[in-house]
Amino acid sequence: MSLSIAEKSYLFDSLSSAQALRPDGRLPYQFRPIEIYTDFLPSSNGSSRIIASDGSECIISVKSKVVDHTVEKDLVQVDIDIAGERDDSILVESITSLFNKIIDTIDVSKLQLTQKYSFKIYIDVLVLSTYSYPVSLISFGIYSALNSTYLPKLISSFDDLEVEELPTFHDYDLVKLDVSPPLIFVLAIVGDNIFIDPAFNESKVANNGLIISWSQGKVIAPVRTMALNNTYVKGFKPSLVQEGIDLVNKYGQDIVNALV
Amino acid sequence: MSDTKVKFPSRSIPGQLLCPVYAPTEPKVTKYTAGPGTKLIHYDANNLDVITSTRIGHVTVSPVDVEGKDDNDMILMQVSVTSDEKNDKTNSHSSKLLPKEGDVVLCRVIRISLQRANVEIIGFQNEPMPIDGGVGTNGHSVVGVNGGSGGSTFSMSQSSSDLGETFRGIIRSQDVRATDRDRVKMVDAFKPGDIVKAQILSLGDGVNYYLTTARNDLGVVFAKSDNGAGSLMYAMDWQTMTAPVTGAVEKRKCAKPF
Amino acid sequence: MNVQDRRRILGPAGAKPLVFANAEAKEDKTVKEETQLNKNLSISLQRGIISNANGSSIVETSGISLLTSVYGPRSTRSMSFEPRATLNIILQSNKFDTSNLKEISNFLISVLQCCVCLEKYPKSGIDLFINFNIEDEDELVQYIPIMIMSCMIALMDADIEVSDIIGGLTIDHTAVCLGQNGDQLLGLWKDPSSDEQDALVLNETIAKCQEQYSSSRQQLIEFISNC
Repeated sequence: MSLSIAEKSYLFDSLSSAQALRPDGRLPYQFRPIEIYTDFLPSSNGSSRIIASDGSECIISVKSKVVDHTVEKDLVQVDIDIAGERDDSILVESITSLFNKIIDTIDVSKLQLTQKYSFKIYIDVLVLSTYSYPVSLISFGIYSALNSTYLPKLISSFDDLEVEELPTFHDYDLVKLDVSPPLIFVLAIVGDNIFIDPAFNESKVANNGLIISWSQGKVIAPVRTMALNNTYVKGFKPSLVQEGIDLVNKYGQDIVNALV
Repeated sequence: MSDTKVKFPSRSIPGQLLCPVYAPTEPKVTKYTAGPGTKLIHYDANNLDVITSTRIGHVTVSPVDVEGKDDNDMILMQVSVTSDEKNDKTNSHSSKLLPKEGDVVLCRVIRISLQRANVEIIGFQNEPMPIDGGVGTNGHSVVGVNGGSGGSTFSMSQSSSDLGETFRGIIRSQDVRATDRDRVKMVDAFKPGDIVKAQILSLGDGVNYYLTTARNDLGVVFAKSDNGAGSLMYAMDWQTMTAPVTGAVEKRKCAKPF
Repeated sequence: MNVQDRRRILGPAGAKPLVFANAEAKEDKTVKEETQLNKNLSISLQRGIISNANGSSIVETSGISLLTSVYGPRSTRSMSFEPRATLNIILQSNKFDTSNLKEISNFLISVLQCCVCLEKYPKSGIDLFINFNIEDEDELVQYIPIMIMSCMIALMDADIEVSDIIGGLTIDHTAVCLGQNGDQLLGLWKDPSSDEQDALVLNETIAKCQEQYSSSRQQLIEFISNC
């Protein structure tokens, strides 16, 4: 799928004008409709399937393992697979690196079982199809998957420093995992305008992209710029960064409310 | 150019603003166009279209001849930046980086078919090749499975690194000679391994440049007899070559040597 | 001759036989300059070191040395016609994991795409290899300014057209890349850090970088206009 020069020029002009008009009539802060299904993988602790209106789709599975947290420091690990991309391609590796950085902002004390042991969470992401930069979709999927994750209930004692025993779990009782995973918003900058959730055609004419992370009501790091195409890339007004952050601060909570 | 108000620096560095597109000179307005080594950009700070330098070198301003169009309203000037001659010690400077339309190049025939000859471009006429011409990274570093610039495009290059890759070209049978172009037999014009002087017709498709030898001074310049097994041959006329040792005569579309 | 045959490692164009005796004397060609950074940190810039690369640069400052080489524009094996060049950057270091390095190189590509005149090199690819050696491991974000600087020198050494000399600065774990006299933001990189404030405000950081931008770019301009 590619756009002609005339199509791109039309899109750029309408998106960069003072009264910006998005091709699908959305407001600058409006998302495209998404469908989310959760808890559909029987062998995972939590799972989700997220489908964007353009047909981008991604499935996420959350699995857990009991580890000694004095040995294993890294308690959450994200692994991303994108259909049609090699595992070591620059796209896959940089998205994986971004998610492993942002997932480190999760409060890992929620995963602690006993004084010695913790759950280690493995988040496996498979992007089945994607038409624009998929980080927003993936982060929404991870959010829903973690919010539908149930882990076995601990029945042995918390204090196990002195005793040599492994944690034991209840046969069928499960506890809901209570972490508040951060979200990632992708914003496209076209001219002096900024838009949340750029679609494929909007990404193709964006002068630059902003990746903004959000957690518990406020914007957090990592924040970075990212070229969304290789033809229209150029610099932009520095004040647009703060504008984007303010936009996410203002509408982030509404978007999260819509997710659950 | 005493009538232009714009002061041009003698040397420029990338990003240096050279002039606005329109300069209010008397009696006519001057319009500058961006030539080689410069680029037209929009400067947001003062909302102006300006010409900026894109390389280190000397600034030259020359009038543009507009054929057939008598533009009385404006003086047309072209601004360009050429690389410094004194910088040539590293040899990368002033070398041509890419083949472009109209260039005369040297190429080696890779294979021939009834319709075309596939060639690889090995050099430019009167221009040094870029230092890395056709040798890739030459083992300088391990290119990842999708490393190298080819990696970001979906192609077979994702499976290998970039050894000995040069630009490729095609000489179509109708571009071999200027006369009787429909009856060209490729086997009588080129053989694999021949070194051919050709001119670039167009950038062609994704893979190949389109080349032509339809000129007296274009065609095979070096060829070995017996499909490369024999010795170097000399052109006898524009379509035969002979090997001085064995006396063998072979058909080629030869370039006029002098 | 068959197509697979051409995949052999060919010698570089105009290769000469090995001469060991004069190997060191050839280093004289390089242009070298020492300038003072505003933090009283001396930085050494060199260009044209790698003999088989189109352009190269070495940027050295205390505890870090960056070697950047530019190959291309050269043919890509893309099947469709690309009207512009493809820019590619590969970072190499044994101190960081590859996904981290690839994320940074992805960012650097984004930034450099703003200034390299890719439309002047149709159908081709430009590859930059950045090798870096460091003494003590710091956050990768600290090295973004110096990486951009070495890329700019190497690109200009290769005579690849760039529309602007861009500069980067790192303040409070935030790397900011600016162009057009600091009026335009080309790249911003902020990683999570331990000293996280309540609300993320980047305006001040960007403003600080804009103030320091011209002085940080000055040494690069001095270097390239002197050689």
